Amino acid sequence: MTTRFPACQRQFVGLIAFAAVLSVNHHLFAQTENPPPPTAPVSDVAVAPSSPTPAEPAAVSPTIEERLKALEQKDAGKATRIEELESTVAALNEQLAAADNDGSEDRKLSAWGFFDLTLGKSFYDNSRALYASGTPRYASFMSNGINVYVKSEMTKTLSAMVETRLTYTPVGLDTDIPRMVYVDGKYLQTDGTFAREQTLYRTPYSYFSYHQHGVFIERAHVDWKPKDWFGIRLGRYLTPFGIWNEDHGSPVVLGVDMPNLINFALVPIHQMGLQIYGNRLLTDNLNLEYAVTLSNGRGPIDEYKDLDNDKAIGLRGKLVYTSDDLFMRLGGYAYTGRYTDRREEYYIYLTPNFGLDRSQPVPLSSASPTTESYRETIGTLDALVQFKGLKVMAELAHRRVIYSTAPLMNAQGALLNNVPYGTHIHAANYTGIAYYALAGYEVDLGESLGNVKVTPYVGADHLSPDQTMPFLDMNQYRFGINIKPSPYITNKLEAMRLVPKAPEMASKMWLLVAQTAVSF
Amino acid sequence: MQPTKSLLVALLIALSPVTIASAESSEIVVVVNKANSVTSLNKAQLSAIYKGKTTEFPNGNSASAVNLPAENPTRQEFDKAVLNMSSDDCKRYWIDMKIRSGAGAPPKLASVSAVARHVAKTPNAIGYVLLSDATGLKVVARIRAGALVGP
Repeated sequence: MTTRFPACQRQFVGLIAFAAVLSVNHHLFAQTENPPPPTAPVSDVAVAPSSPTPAEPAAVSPTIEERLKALEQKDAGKATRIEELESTVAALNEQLAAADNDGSEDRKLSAWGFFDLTLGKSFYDNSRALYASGTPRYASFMSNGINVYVKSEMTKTLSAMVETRLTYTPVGLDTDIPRMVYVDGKYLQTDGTFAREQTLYRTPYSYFSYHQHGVFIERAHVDWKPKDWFGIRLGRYLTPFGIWNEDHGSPVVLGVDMPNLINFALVPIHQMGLQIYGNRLLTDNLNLEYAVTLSNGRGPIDEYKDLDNDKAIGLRGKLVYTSDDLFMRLGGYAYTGRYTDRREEYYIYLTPNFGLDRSQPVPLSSASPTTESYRETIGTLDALVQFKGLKVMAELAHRRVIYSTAPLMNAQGALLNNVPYGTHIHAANYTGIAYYALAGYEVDLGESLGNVKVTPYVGADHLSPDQTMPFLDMNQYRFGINIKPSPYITNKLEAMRLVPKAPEMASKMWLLVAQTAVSF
Repeated sequence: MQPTKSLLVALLIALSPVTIASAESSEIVVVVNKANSVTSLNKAQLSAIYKGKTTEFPNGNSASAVNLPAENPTRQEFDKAVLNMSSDDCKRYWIDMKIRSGAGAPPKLASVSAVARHVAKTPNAIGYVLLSDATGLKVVARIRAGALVGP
């Protein structure tokens, strides 16, 4: 094996070797019983013949010992200098390494994300049940999308973050706005039928649905947070309620399938508007978090347009207790807002010659009659306890809907409510409720097995989305195992038993799902 | 040498001033800038700062924590003593936090001496260093035998 020395070390080694040679010579001379008196230094002897100057008298020439001492001192000085230089180089290297991340207030841009691959298959007790047609009958691979985060920290108190989910479907649009045509003041005909291109997407293994816009924006907000207890968030954000909605990413949540209070969106999952939030340490172990939300509220196109002037408000409170072995949190969220849907119409008044009828007060006009409007009031509760490896969580959501403009009840609902076929009735005010509980126990397999974390879990879920349509009620039971072989990978295997209340609507079924979620 | 004598010699060596000084100099201390009015921090307060639960010292002043790389032994000892977490646990914690809320881990500096220099020049900074590197800094907590103790 060859030992390599840096240049400065090689120089140092050379000097030591030179000093050692001199030292050996010195010892050789010293060991001679009667050494000849040195008339001149060795070097002087070497140069003497070529020098016309007479040799220095021996009395003023340094002795070998003196020269050796001088050289040794020189060596020592160089060694010290080398040490100083090495220390300087090390310090500069540290500064260089820290230059990109020195905790300063310069803007920082970071990106990260996650995605998953899921394989699932459902098994129906009655394969011809009505809802079987809308759920996957065949084993299928699918992905919930790729969530990409980008965050910019402009200053210590100002930041902006965007979380997008990359998807593949087209953008929705209001199309074919009806044209009511009047001739000579008399109604002639209506051209077109108002339609909203259907871009509502429902994941194959759940009822969770949302509009696909190609790139689905989960959240995009700017935050100014000068103090722990006060921050302002502007933009689109995840509604600050519960546990699942906060966790929301497949690498973080314990199970595969979302709870039904998320699937059926008893609470708006996202909101567009502003949020004031903060936290306060009440004691060293107890933290109070709060949020006040003001937004467009729920609506058919609430991401970019509110169809009424009624803004939704919400209030979140959460207490978090943390100690060495115990973690507990208890939270609640209250929300009230108005949902309004409208259609857009143009009115065109023409003369008998099909010119613009200027005798009308407003020959060209538009209107946006309400097609559906209701006020919803929602309350949620959530609790989580973690003690060593044990984790137990539960959430409840209660929703009350009061219509001011009720839509027609869908044919399926009317039929199952014993309304004669073909009879149109309007939907009634209703209450919905959903809750779930989930418990798991995390086992660390230890260093010898790569610190793999294994969490078996069980859970139960109840849904009653609309008490006027009890046939939609259902219970779900699940068990599974969550395996984290590395901080970046989460594998899950889950079996779920779905028990609907109305067998004519949906069959009992088993759903088996395997998922690998990746953080990057 | 008889076993008793060997034990006695070992004990004397272990208790010698040189050994004690060496153990003290390799002790991990949590430090803040000299100008910081904070005098001590307990485990819960440090945990809250290093887990991103608060960005303030108990006196309400802004706290800017800095970390060492995950593979640094000083960081690993600090994580165990203050956060009850292994290196992997910390990674998981911050991956989860980023997915949940976008919150990021404290910035990392390359070495203990870089942390010492950063804390020395930044009034609201907090970090942890070896005692031998804490010259000119205010010690607010110490890690002894894997446990956090007062300054």
